[in-house]
Amino acid sequence: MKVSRRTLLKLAGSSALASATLPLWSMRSAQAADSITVSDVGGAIAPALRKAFYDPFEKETGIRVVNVAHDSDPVTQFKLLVDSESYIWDVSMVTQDHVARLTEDKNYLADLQLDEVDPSGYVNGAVQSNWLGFSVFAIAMAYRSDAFTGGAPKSWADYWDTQKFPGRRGLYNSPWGMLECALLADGVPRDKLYPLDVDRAFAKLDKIRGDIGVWWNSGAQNTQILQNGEVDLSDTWSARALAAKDSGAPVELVWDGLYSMDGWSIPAGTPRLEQARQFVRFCQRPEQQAIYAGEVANGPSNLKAYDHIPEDRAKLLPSYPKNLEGLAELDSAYWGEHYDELSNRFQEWLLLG
Amino acid sequence: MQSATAIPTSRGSSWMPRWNVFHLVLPGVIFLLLFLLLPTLQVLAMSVFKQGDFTAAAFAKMVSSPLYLRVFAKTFSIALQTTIYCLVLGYPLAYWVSTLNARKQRLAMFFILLPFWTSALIKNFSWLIILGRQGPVAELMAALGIPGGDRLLFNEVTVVFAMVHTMLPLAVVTMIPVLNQIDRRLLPAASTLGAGGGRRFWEVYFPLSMRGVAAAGLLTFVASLGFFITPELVGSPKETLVGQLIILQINKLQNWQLGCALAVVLLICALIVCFIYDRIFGISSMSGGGGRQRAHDSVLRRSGLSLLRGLGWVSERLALLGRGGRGRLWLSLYATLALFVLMLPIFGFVPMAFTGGTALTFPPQGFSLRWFEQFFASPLWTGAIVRSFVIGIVTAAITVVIGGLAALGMARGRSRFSGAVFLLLLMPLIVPPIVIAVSLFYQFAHLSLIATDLGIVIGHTVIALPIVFVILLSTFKGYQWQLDDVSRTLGAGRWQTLRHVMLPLVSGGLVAGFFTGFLQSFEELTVALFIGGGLKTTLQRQMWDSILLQATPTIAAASVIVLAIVLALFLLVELVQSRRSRARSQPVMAA
Repeated sequence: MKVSRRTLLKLAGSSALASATLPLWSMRSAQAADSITVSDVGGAIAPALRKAFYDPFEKETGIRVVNVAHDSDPVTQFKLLVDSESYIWDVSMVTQDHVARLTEDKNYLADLQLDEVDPSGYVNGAVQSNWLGFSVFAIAMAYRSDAFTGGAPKSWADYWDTQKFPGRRGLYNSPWGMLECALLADGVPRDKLYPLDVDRAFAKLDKIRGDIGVWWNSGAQNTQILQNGEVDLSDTWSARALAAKDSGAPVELVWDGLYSMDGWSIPAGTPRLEQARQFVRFCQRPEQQAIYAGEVANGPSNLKAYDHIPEDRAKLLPSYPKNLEGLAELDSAYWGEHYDELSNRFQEWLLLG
Repeated sequence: MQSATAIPTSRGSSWMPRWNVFHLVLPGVIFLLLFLLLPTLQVLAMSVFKQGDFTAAAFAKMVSSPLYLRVFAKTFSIALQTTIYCLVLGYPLAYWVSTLNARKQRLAMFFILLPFWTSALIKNFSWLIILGRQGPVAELMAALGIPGGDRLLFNEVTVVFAMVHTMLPLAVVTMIPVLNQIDRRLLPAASTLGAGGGRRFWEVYFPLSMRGVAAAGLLTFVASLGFFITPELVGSPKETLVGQLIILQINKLQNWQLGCALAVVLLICALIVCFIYDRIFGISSMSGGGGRQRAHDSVLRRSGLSLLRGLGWVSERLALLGRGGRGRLWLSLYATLALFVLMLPIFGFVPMAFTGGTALTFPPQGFSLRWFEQFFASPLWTGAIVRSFVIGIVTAAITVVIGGLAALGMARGRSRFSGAVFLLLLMPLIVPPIVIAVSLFYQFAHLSLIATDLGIVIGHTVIALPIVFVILLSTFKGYQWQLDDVSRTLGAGRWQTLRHVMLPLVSGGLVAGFFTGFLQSFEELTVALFIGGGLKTTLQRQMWDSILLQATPTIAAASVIVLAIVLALFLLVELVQSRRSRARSQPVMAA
């Protein structure tokens, strides 16, 4: 399986790369001048990135930022552009899981030289030598306040307490980040989650299975079921519950769970390394991160950004200090290693149990 | 493969000495061999090879865990239920359509097909809202005091309902041409011979329509096997189908071997169903007649006939199909209701596009055009719609040419390979789109066709070919070939006959085929997802991205725009057709 998978990924990457170089020809003239290409996740996030980072950076430095959307899993493309030395990206938006895979056999990432940055003012784990986290999201719990008028659930233990908090429940149809919630409900301390006690997590899940009304599959569906009251109580990705809340639904978040980040990395060997570093450094500025957090409901990694965010907005963000207290950092390395195995086990548990 | 290489040898033994019309199937056959069979085989080989060595590990895993057996059993059960409901509910609808005049038929077909051309994503999102715990149906049920309104979603009944909703148009459209071909004079003839309304229907009309019913059943069943969006969105984990497992293994776990192995088993299941169909009805009965003799005196046939006799007797007693206008009234009533239910998701998302709020809710909050403004202000959306248009038109043109030639060859030609060729031409319906997309991705990587518009066009042609082929096949079968002889007797050459006699008469079918090919491409997601590579974004791909990232009413606005385009195209086709039929009828009247 390994070989065929690799071959296929390689093929995928080479062709994606071949095609990605095509539009590049047309912008080569711009590239020769001061310009960098940033690959991001595209979609609804792209305008927020432009407003918070790309445009202000262009304005301040005169370096143009061309942004392209990459695949949801950009690791293959990333490796290929470094291996073939065709630097179609100078900066890329990646997760810690991607970083782990981009450094396991060979180092594909450039040093960011963030020496001047003091990690203590940041969310834990945000500042690495090869990666700068700038967008914090949480895996937490959300509930409909109209369904719990007599007292709201406050923790994962309450989620499991169907006597005290009756109501239809939603749960993510995947073990990722969800097994942690089961362990938190079972009383595992936040700092002792990893390595996961998988048997214990599944035993805990056995107890709630019959009360789950909806096993949701995508972030948009999570927003939907909270928004239209399909469930009273669910696990959520913070921005998803906030989207439901923004639309006027009586949805509240319980900041009990995990956090993780999206960040920037630079492909090793890019000829525009200095400009790329300059861009990444620019992105750690509290003012810029505050603009970003105003556009999308993800929190800034630089906690000083909260000086620039109005209090009522700040309270909704995962990295707001009071919210962050209830969140443990999701261990991307653990999941990178165990995702396949746990997914299969989860499928069997869900379908056969 | 075999059929392609073997066809030339059949030339010598053919009853037609000079030129076998059947050879017209070749472009379609070659196209599908190159872009369906070959890539599928390549990827399927991945299921049994690990680092170059043969291994059955993936299959062993499938057998060792009861998970896969259960999922396959559930897939079969749900596909079977879907098929039965589609036939039972679709038959009266098709019958009703076949009683209408040509113009009304096209109108009815339009309303039946409109939901079929609506993106599966949007339809399922509509169901989530319409059938939701606090949705309009639940509220209505609560107001009427009917319990259970808050539990409409996430169960097997809803999955089957949504799948029937998706497949019913295809079933109906497959049956209509066959019903249209039944000579209605047979019914009064049967009456003259003393048959009552019930017997007349069940013993004369119904057996003649069986060919269409069987074809519709086969298509529905086989297509239902590969469903994944519907069970994922409106089902619970208990309704997990094989298509979802394939996606999980390939997309999320990158376990190509197991994913491909699941696809192999699914494909084999589909082929077995086709084989059984062939034994009972004869695949060739769909393609060119001649298969009918086979079932002549079987036990099956005799028991079928006695069943029909029984049904005739019962319905006569019930006076359901009596001579009075009541049967007709009930039928129209039923058809109206069925059309209403088919259109329901459309009624759901159109108002949502005009919402003043930020969420997809029903009823929408306030009125605004902001989501349309967002659509047209965004280069992502406008670029995607232009690309979808261009790709759709090119796909339609290619599909009509090669599908039309194949249909002509199949309708007029004779070959012992017609069964195999027919199966090949329908194969894109049998192979789940996800498998087609993955195989093409693998193949196109070698050809540098990933993230090219041409790559998407080829993929869409594969997907669109079977339906366009079936439409054109029924067109050519409905064509009165004696006209060719008449024309030739009057001294016209083959080419002249084609241009002046045949093309004008089959142009309706060709236009319908083009329209269908365009829409198949315009609404296709899976291939666009894989082959587009994030750089060549079609409208569906853009909608998919936004649904995953953020389900704003822009998606509903985009769907309304698509709806408007489909509507405009339909009106255009209708205009062309009515002008043509007027132009045609005049000389006839003058004569």
